[in-house]
Formats: sequence, C-alpha cells, structure tokens
Amino acid sequence: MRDTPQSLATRAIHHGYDARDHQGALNPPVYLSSTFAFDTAEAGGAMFAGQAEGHFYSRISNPTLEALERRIANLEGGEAGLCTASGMGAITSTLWTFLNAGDEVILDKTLYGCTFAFLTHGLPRFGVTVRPVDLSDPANLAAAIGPRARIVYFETPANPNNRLVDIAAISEIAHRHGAKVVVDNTYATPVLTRPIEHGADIVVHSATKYLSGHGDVIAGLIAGRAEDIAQVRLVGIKDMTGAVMSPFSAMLLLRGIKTLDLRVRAHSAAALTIARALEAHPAVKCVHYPGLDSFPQADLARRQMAGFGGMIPFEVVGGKAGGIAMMNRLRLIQRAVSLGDAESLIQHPASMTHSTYMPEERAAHGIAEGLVRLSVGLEGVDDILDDLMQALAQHNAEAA
Amino acid sequence: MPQTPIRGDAASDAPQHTRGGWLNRLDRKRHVGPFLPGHRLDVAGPSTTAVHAGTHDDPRTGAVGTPIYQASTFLLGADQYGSIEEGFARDRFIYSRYGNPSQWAVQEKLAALEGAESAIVFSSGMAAITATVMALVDRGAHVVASADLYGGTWNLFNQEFPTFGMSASLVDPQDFSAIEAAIRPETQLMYFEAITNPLLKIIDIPRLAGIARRHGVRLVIDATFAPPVAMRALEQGADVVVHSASKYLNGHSDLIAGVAAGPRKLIDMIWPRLLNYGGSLDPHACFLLERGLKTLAIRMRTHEESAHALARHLESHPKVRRVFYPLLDSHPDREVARRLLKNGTGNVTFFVESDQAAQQLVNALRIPKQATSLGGVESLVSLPFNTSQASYTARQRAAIGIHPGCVRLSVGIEDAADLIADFDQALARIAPAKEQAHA
Amino acid sequence: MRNSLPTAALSEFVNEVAAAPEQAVMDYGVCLDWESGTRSCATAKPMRVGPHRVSRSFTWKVDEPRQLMGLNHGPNPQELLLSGLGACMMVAFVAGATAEGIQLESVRIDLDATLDLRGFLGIGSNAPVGFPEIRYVLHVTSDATPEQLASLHARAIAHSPNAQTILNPVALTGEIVQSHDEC
Repeated sequence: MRDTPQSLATRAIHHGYDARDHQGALNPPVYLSSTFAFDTAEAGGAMFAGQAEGHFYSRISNPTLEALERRIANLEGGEAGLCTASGMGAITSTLWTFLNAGDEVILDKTLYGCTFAFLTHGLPRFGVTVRPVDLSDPANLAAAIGPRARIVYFETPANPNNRLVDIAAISEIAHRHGAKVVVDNTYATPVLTRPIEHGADIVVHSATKYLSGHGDVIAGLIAGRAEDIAQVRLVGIKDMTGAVMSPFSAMLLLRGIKTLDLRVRAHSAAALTIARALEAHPAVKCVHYPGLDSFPQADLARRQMAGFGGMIPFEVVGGKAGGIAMMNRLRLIQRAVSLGDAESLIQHPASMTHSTYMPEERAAHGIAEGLVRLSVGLEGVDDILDDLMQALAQHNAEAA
Repeated sequence: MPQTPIRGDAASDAPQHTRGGWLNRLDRKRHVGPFLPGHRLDVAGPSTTAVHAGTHDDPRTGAVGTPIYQASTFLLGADQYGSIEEGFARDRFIYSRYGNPSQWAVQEKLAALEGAESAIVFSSGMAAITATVMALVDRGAHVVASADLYGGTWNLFNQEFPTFGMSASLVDPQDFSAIEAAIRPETQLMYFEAITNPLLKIIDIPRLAGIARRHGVRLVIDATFAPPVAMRALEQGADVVVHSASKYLNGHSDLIAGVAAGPRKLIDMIWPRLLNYGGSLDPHACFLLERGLKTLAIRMRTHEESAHALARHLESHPKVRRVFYPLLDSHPDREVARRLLKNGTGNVTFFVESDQAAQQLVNALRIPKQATSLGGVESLVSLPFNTSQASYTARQRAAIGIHPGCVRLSVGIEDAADLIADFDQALARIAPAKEQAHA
Repeated sequence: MRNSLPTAALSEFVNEVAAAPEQAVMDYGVCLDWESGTRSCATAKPMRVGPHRVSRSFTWKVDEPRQLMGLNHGPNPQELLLSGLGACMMVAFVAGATAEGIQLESVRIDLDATLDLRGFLGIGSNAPVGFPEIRYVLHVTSDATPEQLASLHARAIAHSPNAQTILNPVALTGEIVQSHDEC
C-alpha cells in the first residue's frame, strides 16, 4: 500500500482490505454464506483440485475470514493467517496437523489449563510422547530435546503466572533439532511481542482475549508461513477439528483489532501502576508482573516485550482463603475467567482455569494455590485501584 | 389475571389511586431511567463509566456483558397491562419500538456518559434530531438556529418546518446579540451545534443557555463533534443533547444511530415522537454501539493525540494556508475551547490554495479514505465544496468561511507519524498553480 | 392509558410542582381584534407553562346572530363563556376520574343559562347585566358507583379554575391606550 512500513496501529485499521473491491463500503461485508456458486462445473473442480484460487465452502475459506486472516498475518509478521472457532481450536488444529504417532512434543511447564490437559491427557492416547520442560531456562531444552521432537510449544508470558520464555534462544535450539516452535501469543499480542520476528514458526491465539477485546466472541487465530498455514487449513481444520470461525465473529474481531494498539497500551499502562501499588501493599505477599524490577526475568521482559501487558497474578497474605475472601469483596472488578476485556476481571486459577492440573502438578509448575489472576481492564486506573484497595484494606483488618 | 413479574424498570410503579382525595394524593414521582434493575454504577471517571455503565451481565446465566435481545415483542402480564393503563409504558418491555433491553443498556451507558437522567437511542442522528425538535415545538412555533448547521438539520428547518406552519431564523452562532434579537414571542427552541462543521467554531454553550433561560426557551445542542469525554453539553447548560451516534460514539464506522439525552421530563416528551415517527434502533446495532462506547475514552485520547500532532505539522507546512484545530494557539476560539473542552477530537480542517489543489491532495493520500462521516477509528477526508456543503453556492460557502481549498479531515486513531508522512508525500504532489493553468 | 390520560405523567407533574411551585404558574392571554359590527377575531397568545414558552397559534371568530345585528359568523361571547366553563369542568372531572381509577365510557356536560338583555341595553329594571344562574347536567357512562360520581363531581367543581372564577369575585383591571392614526 505504501513505500515505508506503517506502524502497527495503522495497519491494524487498514491492512488487507480495499473498500473499492466491496461497493466502496468502508468495512468488510459479513459474508454469512456456507457455500459459493461456481461459474461452471469445471471451475468448481479446479478449485477442489487446488488448481484455482477461490472460495468454495466456508469450512475451508470465506471472504470475511480472509480479510481477518490477512490482517493477523500482517500484524504478527507471518506470511499467512487462519481463523478458528476458539483458541483451543487453533491449538489443536495446529498440533494435530504436524504431529504423528511416535512423535514427541516438548511443552513448557506452565500452560493454560485446557492446553495442558489436551497435551498431557489428550495426545498420549494417540501415541504422541509429551515432555514438559521448564523452558524459562533454554539449557533445559538443549538437555531434553531429541530426534523425535517435532514441536516445541510454550506461552510467553505464561498463563497464569507470567513466566517468560526467551523465544529467540528456544527457537535456535529447536530448529537445530528440526522441531517447529509454536508460541501461544494470547497474553502479549503482536503489540507487545511478535514471536515470528524472534524465530518462532507458528503463532496461535485465543482471539477471545485482547484481539477481540470486548469479551463478546469466542475465537482463535493462527499465523505463520504460508505453507504451514495451508496445511493447518486443509488438514487440521478441514479434516480433523472442524473448528471454523463464524463470519460474524470475524467481523467483530476485525472491529476489535482496530483498537488493539491503543487498548493494549492502555491495559499495560494501568497494569504497571496497579502492579506497583499492589507490591507496596502490606496485605499482598507477592506480585508477578514483568514490568516490576522485582520480576525475576525483568531483563528478558524488557528485551522481548514492548510493554508488559494487562495481566497481574498476585498472592495475598493468607493463601487461598485470603485470596478468595479478597475477591469476594471486590465491587467493580468482576469475578470471571477470561481476560483482555474492557472490564477488569479476576479469577482464582487453582479452582478455575488451572483446575485441570493435580495440586502436585500445580506445585511443580509454579502455580501457587493462593494465586489470584487479575486482568486489568480499560476503566480509569484510579477506579480499579480504589476497588482493590478497599478490598485489601478489609483484608488487613480481618488479618489483624 | 395472575400477577406477573416486572419486566422493565423495577423502580417504576403505578401511582396509587386517589380514593376520594384529589390529584395531590398521586404519589408517583419522576425518576431517572428507565434502566434495567441492578448494577447501577456509582460516580466514576469517564473510562470506567464507558466500560461499565449500563452494561448488564445476564442474571440468568451470569454471562458478562449485555445479551442481544433480538426480539420484536415481549410477554404481557398484569404488570405490563397496568403500565399501559396508567401511562408508564416507557418503563416496561412491551414491544421493541417502545423499548428493548438492548436499547436500555446502551441508553443507560449514554446517559451516564452525558450526565443525563435519561436517554433514547434512534435509528439515525436525524431521527434523534427530528423527534427531539418536534417534541419541543407546537403549532406556529419558531426556532432560532445556527446558520452553520449540518445540511440534514438545515433541511429540516428550511424544507419541512414551513409545511407544518413553523419557521426558523438561522443566525451566526457566535453573534449573541443577533441570536437574542431573533427570539420572538412564539420562539420555543434554540438549536445549535457544539462545534461547527467544517470550520470547527467552538460555540459558547453557557452563554446560549443564559439567553435561553432569560427567554423561557429550550436549548438543544447537537454535540456530534464534541462527544462526552471531550464535553458534556448538559453540564454547559443545554436542555437536551443530541448526537449522530454513527460518529465518535460508535467510533467504528459500521452503523447508523442517534441519541437524545437530557432530563427525564423532556426525554419522556420525546419518547412519543419516537413511537410515532418510528426511528427505533435495532437490538443488534445497540449491541455494536454499546461495544463501541466501551473504548470511547481511550479512543478520544488517541484521536486528540494524532489530530493535534498532525494539525501542528500541517500548520508549519508551506503548502497549507490555514489550519483549524481547537487546541492550536492559532484557533480563533481557543479561549472558549480551553474553557469547554476537556479533550480534543479528531476533526481538523485546513486550506490549500484552491479546490483543485485540494482534490489533488486527497487523491494522493494513501491512509485517509475519501468518504463522508467522521469520528471513526480510520481517518476520513472529504472536500466540503463537493460533499457536505455541495448544496451551497460558492458565495454561500464563502459567507460561512468555507473558502476554496478547504479540506475536511477526521483523524482516526492511526499513529500520527504515519499520517504526517502520508500528508507530506501527498502535499508534495500538488502541482504548482502555473502548471495547472497550462494543463 | 385510561381515558387517554397518562396518570403516571400527571402524578409526576403533581410532585414536580410540589417541589418547584414556579412550574405551576401558567400565563394565558388572548387578543381580540374588532373586524366589523359585532364580529371580532380572537387569537391565543403564546402561553407560559412554568418558565417555558408554548406557541399557540389558534384564532377564531366571535360574532352575534343577525337578530342582534351580527352576521352569525361564530359563537357569541356567552356561548364561549359557557364552553370555557364546561370544558374546564370536563378536564377536572376526567383528570379526577382517571386518578381515581374510574374508566369513563362517555361524558357530556349540557349547559344552559338565561340572560335578560335589558341589563345590557340599560332598560330600567332590576335585571342583572350578567347571568343570574348557569344550569348544567353531567351525563356519564362509567364503571363508577353513583356515590363515587357524586363525590368526584364535587371535587371537580371545587378544583375547576373556571368554575371557581365564576363562583368567586375576580378583579377586572384595564386601561385604555389611545393611538392617533393618520386618516
């Protein structure tokens, strides 16, 4: 579209859609059509044979989804993108495309609960070996990786405790052993981290979170090399999961992504202020936020992230009971799972998002029983802080 | 008929019958709303209000966010029938043209953002304007309105009003003695826009409100160019504020909607006009508008950031003759702007040497799309001479300050650096005037 | 709405006035221009409802029958007085009934009055210039009991501004302003 590269904020609004192709309509039309008419029977046959471009059935491709796919690919710095019905649909469609019985997948020890369950309980049934490794130290990967490893899979920052993984270091080791690197970039979004630029092969998203940003869609997105994405489309989605996105959800995602840059910057700015205030509070035991000097991987955070995101896991004094009691005193912040919405949300991973782990697994994976996970919304930072402070003030009083 | 639950505003109930007393026994008072029960937000900052006010989690399922109530009609029971009989049907769900939970949710959010007791959404800004104006005038009425009005509103006063035996005087919105002199015994309404299009004059609403109060006339302000976060027109003294919600309020250029907000008493007078004229907003559009409003505060801050930087840059550019942006020191109304505006907006108007140069410029721009409308996340650019003021003659345009070469720009939320680079390359492609003469 | 009157809005107005009495102050005016003979043209002036102006823009002719030297082009002043009285009683009766929860099917007020023009003409007698009596019959169909209607009738008369203006002394103040048109 232009000679000099545009900023992400601008591309998030404009890339990959030309109004002149669609009656001049400023926004992409929503193509609520399951199927597409062929000019001739031969033309249809050519599309099925992969000899001609075009849409023929919305489980494979759809014009509204295509606009979104171009946009996410561009924002992530990938060649191609792919829409899925949910974040889990993105993850399973990707992994099932590339894994065969006898292969090995190496995963980081801290993952979202359902991802962890799919990998550790689901894949072994099909003859895939699953090996959890602490990837926060790349040396651990070098020690664990073998010739059967096909995929190295991790989140950075990881859900729920914000542990980071050095994408460049991990990718370098994985590629030396012929494994693909798949990164779940839900937390950071391309505004803060673009894993492909650091060497990752495929990025998956729960687009339900920051990409949609308004808590009103369940969706997943994938970005990567055109060849890999074509395989996921034609194998993972078409023939295995069938996890296809509705065109209506694609329209809401395109709309949400237009404000992604300013939303993520606002989430990050508010979260840094809140994380500092929490850390200074006597009722708070510890805060895991990459923007804090106390964060063990603060150097990596500054190197790999353009900001530190809106997620604040923290532990209050009094462990699980203390955390639950504090949550129940909140007035503005809603008690709900999910994250990345305009509304601030809080949840308790051990009993909610990470209840798929056994208690001993949580301990081994660094997920404290008392940890609460705050998703900082777009409200005024003073209003969010007031709510937390009133809840923590009572906490102090009860503890005293 | 068995009792049925209240489906609507639980704070609203029928007045007790007088039972042998007189009208002073009637106990029902006017209250804010109508709003869905529960989850009323205490006073909060604009960002928090934008996210939370009016957004009602579903009580049945706990679903976060207001469901889309895609229903044309609602179950009737004794309570609903009673509301019709006693005249408070606006407070119950009966039929979606009368009211729908999706409308109420976004109305509550808009009312909270405007600091209003009540609000109604409409199927377009013009639907909001006509219903509001027609609710506040009577047979033979006269209106004093701005001479700089948006074309659609101008048409209402010039084309529709005489048909109904009413009249309007259009006066310079900054000539306060002319405004006062235009008021007649039958004047019922003063109608002005908070910021004029395209020269972005900042209208001194408190001063207009003073005139209106002195003469017992209502003041309606179209604040489309100055949404809440930038300004709350009711706090400045307007009786009713109307908007084309298609612009900044929705912010994503993907729907057409309008809103009127103000005291419950006046909005209750507007509501029957909504029923009669039929411009009700579809529940799905309500959902999109409510969603768009959640980012209003952060969008407005970014609009200002990018627009202010671009305006400053254009002001220093040799091919630009004049730039109008209310936060610039060069803006004629900067003092009023400082007093009334809490935040800038994305509208910038500037002049190059001729309409021909302006046309070359906009054709060379790559980021802003050539389209009317404004207030969306994407920058839009248009030329008043062939769009918004095309129905004016060149002399009429000049009379309101739209000289040749006028470019109307709505800066989106793209990065200022990208917009500045794009305008630089496009301005460089304006051919010198001499070459144009040869061409 | 019962009787096409929104009780809720009526109640809200009552309570608004209780809190802000200035909202209850109405300014009315009509202007009469003599046209010819006994005929004049009446125009309603803009009204004030509380602090707010309402455009009226209603005009009507007032005239006397031919027998009284007029052209019979409109109702005469006495008929307008009776209709003004009856319409005001009607508003009070219907508002009161609605607030009471009474559903009206039909209401008709039939007014009669006898004037002895000797008073107007100045022919020596004891005849008063104005009406000595105004008689009316209220025809009502509704779901109310006779006792309810009797009580409502009394309250409606007690609260009808025009009825109370007629029943009680009222100050009539005027002045003359003379202009000297060129002929």
